Amino acid sequence: MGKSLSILTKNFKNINVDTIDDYLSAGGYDGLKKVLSITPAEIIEVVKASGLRGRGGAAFPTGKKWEQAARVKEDSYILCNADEGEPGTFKDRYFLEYDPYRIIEGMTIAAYAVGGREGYIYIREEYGRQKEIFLKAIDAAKAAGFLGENILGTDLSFDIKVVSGAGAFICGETTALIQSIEGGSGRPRIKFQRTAVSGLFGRPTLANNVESYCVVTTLFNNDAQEYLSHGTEKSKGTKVISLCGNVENPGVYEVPFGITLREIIYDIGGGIKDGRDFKFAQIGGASGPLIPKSMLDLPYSYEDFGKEGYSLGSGAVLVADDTNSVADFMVTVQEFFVHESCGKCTPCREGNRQLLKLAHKIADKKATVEDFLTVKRIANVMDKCSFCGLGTAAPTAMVTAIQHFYDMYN
Amino acid sequence: MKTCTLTINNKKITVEAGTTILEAAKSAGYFIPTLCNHPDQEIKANCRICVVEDKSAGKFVASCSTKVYDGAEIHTNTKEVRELQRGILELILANHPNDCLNCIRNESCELRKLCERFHVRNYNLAHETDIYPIDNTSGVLVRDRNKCIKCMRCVEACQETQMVGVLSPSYRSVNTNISAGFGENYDETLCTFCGQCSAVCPVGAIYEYDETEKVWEALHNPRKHVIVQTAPAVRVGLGEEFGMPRGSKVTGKMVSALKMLGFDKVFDTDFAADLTIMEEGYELLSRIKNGGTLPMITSCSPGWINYIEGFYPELLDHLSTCKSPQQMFGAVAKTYYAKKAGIDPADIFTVSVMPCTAKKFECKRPEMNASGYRDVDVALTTRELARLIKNAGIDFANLEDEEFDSIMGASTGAAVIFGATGGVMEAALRTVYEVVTGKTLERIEFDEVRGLERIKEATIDLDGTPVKVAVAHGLANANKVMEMIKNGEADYTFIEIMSCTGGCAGGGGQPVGADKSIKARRIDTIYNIDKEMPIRKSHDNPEVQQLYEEFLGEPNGHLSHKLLHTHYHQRRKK
Amino acid sequence: MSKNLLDANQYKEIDKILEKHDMSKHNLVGILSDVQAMSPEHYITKEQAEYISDKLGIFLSNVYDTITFYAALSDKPKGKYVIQICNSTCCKVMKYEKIKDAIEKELKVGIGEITPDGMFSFEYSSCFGACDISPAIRIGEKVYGNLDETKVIDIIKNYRGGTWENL
Repeated sequence: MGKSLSILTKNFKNINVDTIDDYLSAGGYDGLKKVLSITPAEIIEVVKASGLRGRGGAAFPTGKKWEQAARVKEDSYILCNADEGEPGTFKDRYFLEYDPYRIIEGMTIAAYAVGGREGYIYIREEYGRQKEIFLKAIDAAKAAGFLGENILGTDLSFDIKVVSGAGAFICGETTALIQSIEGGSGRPRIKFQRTAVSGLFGRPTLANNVESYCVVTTLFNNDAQEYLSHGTEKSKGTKVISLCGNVENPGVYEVPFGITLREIIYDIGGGIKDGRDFKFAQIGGASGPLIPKSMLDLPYSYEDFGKEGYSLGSGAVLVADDTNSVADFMVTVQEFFVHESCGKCTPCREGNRQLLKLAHKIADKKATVEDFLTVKRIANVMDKCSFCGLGTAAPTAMVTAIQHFYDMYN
Repeated sequence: MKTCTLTINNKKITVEAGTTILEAAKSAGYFIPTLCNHPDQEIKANCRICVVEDKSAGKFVASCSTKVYDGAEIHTNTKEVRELQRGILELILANHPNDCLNCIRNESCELRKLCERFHVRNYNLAHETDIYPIDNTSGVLVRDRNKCIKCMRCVEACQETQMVGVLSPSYRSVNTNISAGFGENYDETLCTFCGQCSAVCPVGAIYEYDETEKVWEALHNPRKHVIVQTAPAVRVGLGEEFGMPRGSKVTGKMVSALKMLGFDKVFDTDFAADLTIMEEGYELLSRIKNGGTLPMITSCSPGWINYIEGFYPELLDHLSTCKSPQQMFGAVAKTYYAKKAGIDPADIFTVSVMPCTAKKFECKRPEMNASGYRDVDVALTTRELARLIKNAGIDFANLEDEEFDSIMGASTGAAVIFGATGGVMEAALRTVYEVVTGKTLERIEFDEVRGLERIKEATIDLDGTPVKVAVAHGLANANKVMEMIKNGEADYTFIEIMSCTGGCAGGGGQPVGADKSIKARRIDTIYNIDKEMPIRKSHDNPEVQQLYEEFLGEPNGHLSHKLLHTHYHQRRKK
Repeated sequence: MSKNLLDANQYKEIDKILEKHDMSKHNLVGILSDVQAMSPEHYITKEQAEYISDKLGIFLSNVYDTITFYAALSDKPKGKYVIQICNSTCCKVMKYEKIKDAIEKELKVGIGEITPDGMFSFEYSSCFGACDISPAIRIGEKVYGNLDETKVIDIIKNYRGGTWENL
C-alpha cells in the first residue's frame, strides 16, 4: 500500500490513441471477445460479484443496475455520463483522452449484456479536445469492426453518438442529462419508473459513468485478476482518483480501496507543497465532506467512509494547506452551488442562496450561534426534501466544516 | 382493481394501486400541504412542501409524486415532517415580497393560506427578493415575477393546456424566472390573453389588469348613463367570491347588487347571445346553401380569436363573421337602445362583466366601434365585479333576487348555456333545426355536445340531412381541430371552439382555484338554469324579435352586417 | 442593441446548421452552440432565436430558456476572446485571486465586463476539470494552466499580438 497502481489506468500516456493498434496490443478488446463467448446473465454475475459501484459519485451497485436493465425485454439505450463536473474531478478527462477505446469497449459489453443497439456519450462542453479524440476513436473502432453492424462477426450491432453538454453541472444528474439530450434545458425529471424501464426518449436506458464502463472492460480482460486482488472486503478493486490542490504531485492516480487518505496525500501526492501544513481535504468534489487532520487515517473505502456518514463521491481528493481559511473556502463552495443549482426545487434553489449568505456571514466573522443552527436546519431541509442529489449533497461541505472546524473558524 | 393497504398516521386504509401518497392521505382525512400541485395538471413535485415520512422505507418523500405500496407506513405530522414543511415555507417566504396588504390575491393566495396553517409569525432567514420589472403594458394581464414561487403551473397552462407557449422558465438557480424570452411583455408576443395563467397561479404573480376604478369613475359621473351586461358564466361563478358553494346560481343577487352599485340599467349579455344565434344560425345556413367556407367556426371566444389570428391566419375564412355577444351588445346599446331611450350615445358608458380576461383585449380592438363610439367601454372579470361589490359593502349573500331590465335583458335557456362548452353549438342547433326543418324539436337537449371531453363530435339529423359538428375547448384542442382542417380531415359543417377548458365556466377571469370538478359544478348549474327557463330557444326571445322588427330588419341584413359582424386579420408580434 | 440583423447569408448558414442536425428538436443545444459559433461576439441574437424557433417548431420562450440556462450559451455579446477564470474549490486553494487580479489589471476591466475595443471579455467559470494544472483559465476553447501573474499576462499579450501559445 502507498504506491499508486496501474491496472485501470495502465494505458494512460502509454499508448497512441490515434489508431486502435496500441490499444489492441495492450490487450484491448480481449474483454469483449470473452464476453461474446458467454451469456449476458453470466456477464451480469461477474459485474455483480465484483462489487462495482457507480464511479460518478452516486455509487449505486452497477451489477444491480445492469440486472434491472437486462430484465427489460426492449433494447436499452447505453448512456455514458462524461459530464464530469464536480470541482476537483478530472479523472474521466484522462480516460477520454488517454484510453477512449476502453470506454467504448465497456459500453459495447453493456450493449451485449443488457441488450442495446444505440449508445450515447454525453461529454461536457469544456472537454472539447477530448471530444475530438473520442470521435476519432469511435471512427477507428468502427473501421476495425469493433463498432457498427455485426461486431466481431456476431449478431451484436452497436453504435455510439457523441452529444456535447453546454456548461451545466446539473446535467451530470442522470435525468437532467437525459433531458438535455432530448433537447433544451437540463432540469431533472420525476422518476415514476426507474431509468432502466423509462429513460431517454421514454425508452429503457442504462446510464453509467465513464470509469464504471472502464472497470467493466477490465473485469473481462486479462487484468481482471489483478484488479480484484486489491481493495477491501466490501470495496473490491481499485479506484481512480483525481488528486489536486496544495500537494506536490497533483494528478490522476489509481489506488486500491482501503488505502488511507494519509497515504494518498503524502505517499502518492508527495505531501503538502512549499513545506506548509495540512489543514483539510475535501473528498468527492464540492458536494463532499471536509476531512480534518485527525481523520487522515480514514481508509478510502465505501464502508469506512459510510461509517462516518460520508460517501466517496466522484473520486476527487482536494487538499488544502494552512494558508486557506475554512470559512472562505465555504463561500467558494456555496458560490458554486448557487451558480449550478438548476433552480427547479425550493430547498436547493432557496437553501443554497441562504447557505451562501450564511457562509459570507461566517467568513466576515458576523455569524451568531443561531446562524450555525440555521445552517444545520437548512441543511436538513435540503438533505431530506431536495428534488435531486445536487440539493441533497450541497450542504455537506458546510455541515462537516462546522462539525470539524467550529472552533477554528478563521 | 389492484389495491394497496397502508397506514397513514397509524390509520389503516386501502386504496387503488397507483394512488399517490397525497391522494391516499386525502382519502384518510389528511390534507398534506401543497403549492405546485394542481389536480388538472401534471405532477411537478418542485415545491417539495408536500414532504412526508415513509417510515417503512426509512426516508422522506414528496407525497405528490410517490405512489403508495403495500405495507407502507406513512407519517404526515411528526415533529420532523412539520419542521421540514415549515422550513420549505420559510425558504419560499425569504424570497417573497412582504406585500400582502397591497396584493390583489391576499384573500385567495395559496401561500398566505399556508402561512396561516403553519402559524408563521417570523423566521430567521435572510430576506432577499427580486426586482424584475412588472409586465403591465397589455392592459389585460399583469405579470409580477417578484412574487413568483416557481411552481411552473402557468408554464404548463400556457405550453400544454393552451399550446400558446408564451411562458417558459428561463435561467437557473436564483435567477430562474418565468419569461416570454428576450424581455418581451405579454403584448409583444402572440399571447391570446386567455388568462389561464392567472387562473392557475397560486399567488399574486399573474393577475387581471384591474379596471374597477374606471367603472367607479363612470358610476360617480352624473353625466354618464352607465349600463352593464353580464355574461352567462358569471352568474354561476360570482357567488364563490362571497363564500357561497362553488357553482351556486346567483343571477338574481347579481342583478340586485349591480342595481345597488348604481348602474342605470342592468342588462344581460344573454340577450345578445340570443342575437348572436340569430345572426350565426342564418350565416351558417347561408354558407351551406351558397357553398361558403366550411366548416364554419364560432367566433365568440376572444382568446380563440387571438389564437387563430396568430397561429392559423390562413384559415380565418372559416370563422363566423359574427361578433361575440359582448360586442354585439355594445353596438346595439349605443344605437338601438340609445335611440329608444332618448339618450345621447356619447353619454352611454357600457360595462361588461365577463368570466374572461381576453374580453378586455376584445373590447379595445380598434374595429369594435361600429356604433360610432367604443361599443364596450370596460370589460370587467367576475373577480373585479366581486371587488366592486365588496368595496361598496354590499351584503351579497343575503340579497333578494331582482330581474334584469328591458329592453336588453330578456334571454333564453339557449343563451345561458353559452357559458358551458358545447353550449353555443347546442343553442345554434336548437334554432337551426327549427328554421331548416320547420318542425319543433322533440327533445331540446343535445347531450352529445355536452360534457368535458376534450373534443366532442356529433352528427345531427336535420330531418333526414346529417350534419356533422364538433366542439373543442382549451386551445390545445383547438390546435388539434385546426390541424385537422389544415390536413383536409375535418369533415364537419360547424365547429364550436372555446379558448378555456370547460368553456366560459372555466374562464380565465372566473374565481381562482377552480379545477375540473368545480368547472363541472358550474356547468351543471348552467344547464339547470336552462331547464328552468320559460323560453329555451333563441329565436323565441321577444326582445330579440323586437330588435329585428324595430331596428335591424333581418338576420344578416345590411344593418346587422354593419353593427354585428366583423373582420379578422393576421396577428403579428409587435 | 443587436447589430446582427439577420441578412440572407445568415439564414443560409443557419439552414446548413439545422440540416446538419437533422432538423431535430432534440439537437437544440447543438444547434444553438453552432449558431453561436457563427458570431465573433459569441452570442445568439433574438432574430436568430426566432428563426430557429420557427424552423424547428419550438416555442421562442423555450429557445430563450435553453440559451439562458446553459453557461456556454449567451444571448448577449461578449468579447472576441472570452477569458474565463475558474473560481471553484481547487483553484481557490491554489489562490486564483492572484491571477484574477493580474488579469483585471492588464485588461483594465473587471469580471463580467468587456474591454472597450471589444477584444476581451472576462468572467468566472465553474470548474472545467483542469485541476491538475490549477490555477487555470480558458480562452475560448483553449485551456491554460500552471499560471502565475507573469505567465497569464504573457498569454493575454500574445492574443493581443495575434499569436498565441499553449503553455
